[in-house]
Amino acid sequence: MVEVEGTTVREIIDSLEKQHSGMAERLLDQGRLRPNISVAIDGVVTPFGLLEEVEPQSEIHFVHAIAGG
Amino acid sequence: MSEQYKILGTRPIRHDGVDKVTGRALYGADFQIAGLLEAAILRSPHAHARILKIDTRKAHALPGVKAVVTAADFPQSPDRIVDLGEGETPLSYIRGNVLASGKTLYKGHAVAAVAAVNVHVAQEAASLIEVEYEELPCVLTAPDAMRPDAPLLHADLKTTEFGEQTGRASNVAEHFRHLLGDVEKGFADADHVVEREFHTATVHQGYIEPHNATVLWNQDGRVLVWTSTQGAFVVRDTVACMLDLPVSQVRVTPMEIGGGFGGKIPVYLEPVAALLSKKTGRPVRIVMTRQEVFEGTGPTPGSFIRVKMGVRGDGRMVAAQAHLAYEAGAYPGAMVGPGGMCVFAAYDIGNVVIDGFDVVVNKPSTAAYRAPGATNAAFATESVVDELAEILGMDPIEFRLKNAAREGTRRADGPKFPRIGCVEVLEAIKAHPHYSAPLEGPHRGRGVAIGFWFNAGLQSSCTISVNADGSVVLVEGSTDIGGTRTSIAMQAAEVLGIPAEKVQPSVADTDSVGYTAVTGGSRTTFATGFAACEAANDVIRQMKERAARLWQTGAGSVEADAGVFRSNGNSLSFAELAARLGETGGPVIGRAAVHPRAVGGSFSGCIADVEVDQETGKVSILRFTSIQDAGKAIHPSYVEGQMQGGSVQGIGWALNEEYYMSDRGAMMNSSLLDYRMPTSLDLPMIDTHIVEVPNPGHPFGVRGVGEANIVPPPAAIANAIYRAAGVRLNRLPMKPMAVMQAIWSARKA
Repeated sequence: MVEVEGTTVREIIDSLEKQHSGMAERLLDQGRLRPNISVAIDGVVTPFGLLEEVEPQSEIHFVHAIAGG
Repeated sequence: MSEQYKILGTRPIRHDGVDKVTGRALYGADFQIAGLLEAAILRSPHAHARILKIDTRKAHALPGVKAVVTAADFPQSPDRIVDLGEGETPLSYIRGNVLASGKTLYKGHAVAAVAAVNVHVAQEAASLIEVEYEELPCVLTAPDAMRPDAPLLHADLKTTEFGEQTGRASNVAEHFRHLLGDVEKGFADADHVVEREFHTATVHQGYIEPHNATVLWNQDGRVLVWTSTQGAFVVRDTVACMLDLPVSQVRVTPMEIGGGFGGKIPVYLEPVAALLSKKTGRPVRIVMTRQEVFEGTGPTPGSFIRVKMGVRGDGRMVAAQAHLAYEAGAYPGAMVGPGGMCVFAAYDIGNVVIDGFDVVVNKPSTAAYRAPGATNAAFATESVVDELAEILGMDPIEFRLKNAAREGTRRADGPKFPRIGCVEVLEAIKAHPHYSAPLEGPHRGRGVAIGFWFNAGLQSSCTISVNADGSVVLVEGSTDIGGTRTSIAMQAAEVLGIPAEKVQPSVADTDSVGYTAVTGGSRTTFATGFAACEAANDVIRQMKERAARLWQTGAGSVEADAGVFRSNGNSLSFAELAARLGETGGPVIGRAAVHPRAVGGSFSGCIADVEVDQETGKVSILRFTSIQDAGKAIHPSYVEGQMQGGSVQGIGWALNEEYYMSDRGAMMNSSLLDYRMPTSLDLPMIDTHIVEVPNPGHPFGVRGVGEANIVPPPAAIANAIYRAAGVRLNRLPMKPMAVMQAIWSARKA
């Protein structure tokens, strides 16, 4: 778990990149969230991806994007 | 919303019921259009081979043949990474699986296709196509494919490890890891540790209706598709992508579907039929044979799994470790990610490490199958949990309850669970009469297990048009599987305050409804139902305005409840107001497009009683009960149907079903005679018990129910076999010979 600054998921990733170089490339493809990755804010997967706003104490997780059968 | 529903929880006759039972419902193979040609596909006889040459001249020369296509007929655009609903993948892989280019990667891999005046001419012509192959060594299991000296399927496939590209050529497409706490310390703290290895075979979804597609590449440039699919918009997007067309140029009409379970999400036939139609100027239909379904579509991964779990003497789980190596088939994309997220999901364990490997092998490229990846993982975990419960001398359900995941439990992949029903399902198992019923007789045993599936949200669209007679037409984009038309219509009816029979649901083509994601992932009653609720609320809002206009009052003063509009002593029923829309402003059409965020996962458990024949090893299911959290059961009969269907598939997976492969990678049992799925003659009634822990993220608390019920049966049956015969089986299927070999080994020991 790492602490970063940001008010949106995009800003969070930018902050992550500053702390851990290379993270943006793992999560983004041409500036958009990779399609096999979902973002969960406080346990809830968001449909807004990079645009989702986060609260100061939010937990953000990047998880496998799954649908089902 | 009131908790006292008028429509929800009732059991109206499904809107498509009469057509389905009389044979009038139109499936893909029923579709007719003027000038229709039939096509057949030539498939590789080799599990792994280079294509040296394809000669189609003899096929072309056969009377009645109208066109022949190979991979060379695809647009020769540069390769790129695309996302077509199941994660990013190279376009060359998707095209390559539809028609092989350069190499064939599994027996049954499509190589060429012929369109002709009838299917017999097409099949004969396909047999006349001469293909020169250079056969290559093949690999058929994940452990074999992971060896350093294993033959490589793709020269350009390099392993991604922990999110970083290693540059290492391998059959391992991806290796991921989830870490929680300190697993070494956890195991050091444990009083009891069990570590076991498990193997599961490739199995097929077993849908009764084979894949089929009719495509007309019309003279105006539009590509019209009629197909059996779980996702019309996925077909549209995939066909457009593969043929380098804008999506607006492709229209997909989903026909009624005879089962999918995830296997009818990928696209196999539509692009091929499109290419043939383009060449011939006529519509072309392709219908797979059963052998083609087995050998040329997407079964679910076989797997090798190692699970290690540690507990304290008081029954508290303190550490867990899993190694999951799943066979992806010919192209990367095994559902090992979901498997890794589900393997320990039912338990609150503070120290966990999970390693997952996506491994290509020379088998058909795998597809989703009902909670993909989770059943394999649960077979392993729930077997080890059962063993630990026995070591501790604890009741199997009490042991699980002591460690059950709850709201706020952190999963190994990171997030904390929202409101979930794991405890409620376990308690329902414990309280069920089956759990405490006497089980008498020799060689009989009872087993339990629990499983989980996340369920999906994704996008859905819906419109509702009000008719003058007070009925409504509801247009949505979700292929009807399991009665979803009706469960969606019921939700709209509840909001509107009218009977379910007054809502006429219609599944539309991709030109006629907004984007809607697949019917899969247990999302349809949840997400398309959500859209129907929102569209119905939009109708109510507009109807209030019409009533206000009639009564010459403000819309804010009009109340709507149970299908009646009231204000200041005036009242009109929904039907009465609907009759007056023309004089109050014209049609009322409600609309909604949703992408819900708070999806509710579902836990499912089962109790299995078995008898093991000590002479033959045959396992008979004596009694089976499925228990599942539905959040809110919209139509209980259809929820029960999902639970029964998933249970039956899980039982087949447990006891009989497998791709029986030759050493050269050929499936030896590619017919329903030899690929043995349970029938109604094999099984007792599957009893069901619905638990309702409402999902806060849905207007009515709905949780998807289509998938979690397939997850626990194999483990429950394995645990029951142990109690019946004294042997623990670690391979699926637990077929008679495997049971006998375990019994004989135990007798010798």
